[in-house]
Amino acid sequence: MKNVIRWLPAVIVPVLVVGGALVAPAVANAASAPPSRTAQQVLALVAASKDAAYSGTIQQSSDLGLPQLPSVGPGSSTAGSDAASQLLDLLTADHSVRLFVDGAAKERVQLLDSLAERDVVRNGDEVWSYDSKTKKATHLTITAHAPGTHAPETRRPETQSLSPAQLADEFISAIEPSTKVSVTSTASVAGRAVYQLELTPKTGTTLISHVTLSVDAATGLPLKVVVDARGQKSDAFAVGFSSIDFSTPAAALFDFAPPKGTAVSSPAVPAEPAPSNRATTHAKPTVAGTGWSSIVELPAGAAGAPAPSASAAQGKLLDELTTPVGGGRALQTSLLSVLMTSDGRVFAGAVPIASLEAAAQ
Amino acid sequence: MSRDEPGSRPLALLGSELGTLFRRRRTIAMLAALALVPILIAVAVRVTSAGDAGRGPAFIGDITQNGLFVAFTALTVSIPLFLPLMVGVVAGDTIAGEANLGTLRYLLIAPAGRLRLLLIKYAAAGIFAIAAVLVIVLVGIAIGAALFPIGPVALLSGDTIGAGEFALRALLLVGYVSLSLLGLTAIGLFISTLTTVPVGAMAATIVLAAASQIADALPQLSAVHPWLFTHLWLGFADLLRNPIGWDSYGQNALLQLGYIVVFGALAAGRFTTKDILS
Repeated sequence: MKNVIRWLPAVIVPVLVVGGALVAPAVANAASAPPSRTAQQVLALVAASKDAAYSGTIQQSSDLGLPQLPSVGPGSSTAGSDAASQLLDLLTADHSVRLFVDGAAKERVQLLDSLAERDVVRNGDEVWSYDSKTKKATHLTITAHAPGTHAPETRRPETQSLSPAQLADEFISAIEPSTKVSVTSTASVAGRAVYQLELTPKTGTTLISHVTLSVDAATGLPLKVVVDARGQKSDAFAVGFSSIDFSTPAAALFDFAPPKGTAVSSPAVPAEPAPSNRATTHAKPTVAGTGWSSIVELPAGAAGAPAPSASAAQGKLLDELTTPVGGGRALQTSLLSVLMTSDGRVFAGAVPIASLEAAAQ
Repeated sequence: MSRDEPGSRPLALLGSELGTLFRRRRTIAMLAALALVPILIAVAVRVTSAGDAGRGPAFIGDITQNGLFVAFTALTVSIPLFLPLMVGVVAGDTIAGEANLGTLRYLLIAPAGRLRLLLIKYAAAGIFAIAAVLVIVLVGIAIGAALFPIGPVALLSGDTIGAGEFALRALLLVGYVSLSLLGLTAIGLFISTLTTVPVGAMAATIVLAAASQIADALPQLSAVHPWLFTHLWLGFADLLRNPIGWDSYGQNALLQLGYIVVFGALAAGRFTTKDILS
């Protein structure tokens, strides 16, 4: 009997610890529900939230149904050096990002890798990027009116001409025919009460089940975006704040100077219409269908990069990811399908491969 | 420093325990082996000067520019294997070692109480873990300063810090890594109460540390990752960012505390009910 009593702590303590660890996050996340609003009002709230100062940590995770490879130990570079595999890594691997924002002109984004970090710092016209793994930095000076260099800049022209409420109305009426929009106000993200805007496609032919946008009830800052795929329990793609702090970040964070021994390159700022320039040299992609089940078709040769100029490694990667189907090779993820026909055309869309094959006929 | 009247003064008992631990040839040899890690790294980089970025363990490319990075490289290299190995040996030996030598019953004849003996054994093993990490960092800084130029340290974020802040961050780093090892120490203590064969307890502790790290590397097991005591071992990198990422420090502290409490309770349950036959 005495022994039983002596064993008691050993039984109770683990139960308490595990129970506490499971319950604590739920308690910490509880926030009181804000007054209910319509989808238009929530979107107007988003459009009105600008020039905020905050810092926070963003978690990105995705489950696209692609094969996963184990990441081993420190120093292993899951992110390859070439652009294609780096982009793939950005999209498919889970990431932690720290974000510091002070108004529209000062931003710092830190992509946290294991024992490494990639930084982008913007302070007014100065933009620095730094990669701790390669010890390379890039320095850009952007002119105030150059559009396309940064998201807030591109957003500005539209928001100037329309009031936030008008903008919200316009957006809602644009998506209304194809999408069911609903708002709930009971959830919380990063411990803050949010409005959850749920966009559900009305069509049944898309892979996307619904898109959930969580908007901070107090400030109107979008805190989380989740894309769910049909027939998949876990979120196909989720990016959102795991913690956020609405105090102004230290000003010194935005004054970046690369450390000694860093290779600094200062490429010329791309001429204004650079992206569209590149597009016009190739044949233009065409869009078939509307709304959620649109299919983008790139005519032969337009895709450029993957087929002939690809390195052997890239080609192998492509072979591993795609499966042979009727008219070529197809890549199926839980959100997006890509069909590369044998005559070089590329079809892509958030639809099943069968729809792409039908479009390719 | 004697074991004659330990019950009255717990600090004296801890002192005598530490004295025994750190006077052991085995302990000294282990600390010397850990000191060799930064020395080997520094000499290898110095001799070959092949510290190009992107290859080898993290930070190794920084060493030729700044000797202070020897400490970071050595820590990164030691965390997966060497440190758990050393901590496993000491923690696995705590109770089983005394039982094996036949000295455990003499320790318990003194009116110290089993629980207090267990606490003191754990404290001594924990202090060894801190000493082990300190040895790596201090020897790393010393050998780095001797063989390479030193100067302001570039953080992972690309910002540069001076000597004072480097010292502060190095201290935090020692705290973080030592903390990371305390959970493993508690596991070792519990396993040590299960057996009278110290080698078995040591091996089991080290195997657990390795198994936990392997499980942590498998994405298919991502659901259990946050519960693994090794999950945040490399999170010390967050101390080298600007600003310092305190999230992982707090999470790691909570995680390790959970392991300490759970395995401490298990060890106490086992040790207070155990028939001491040797």
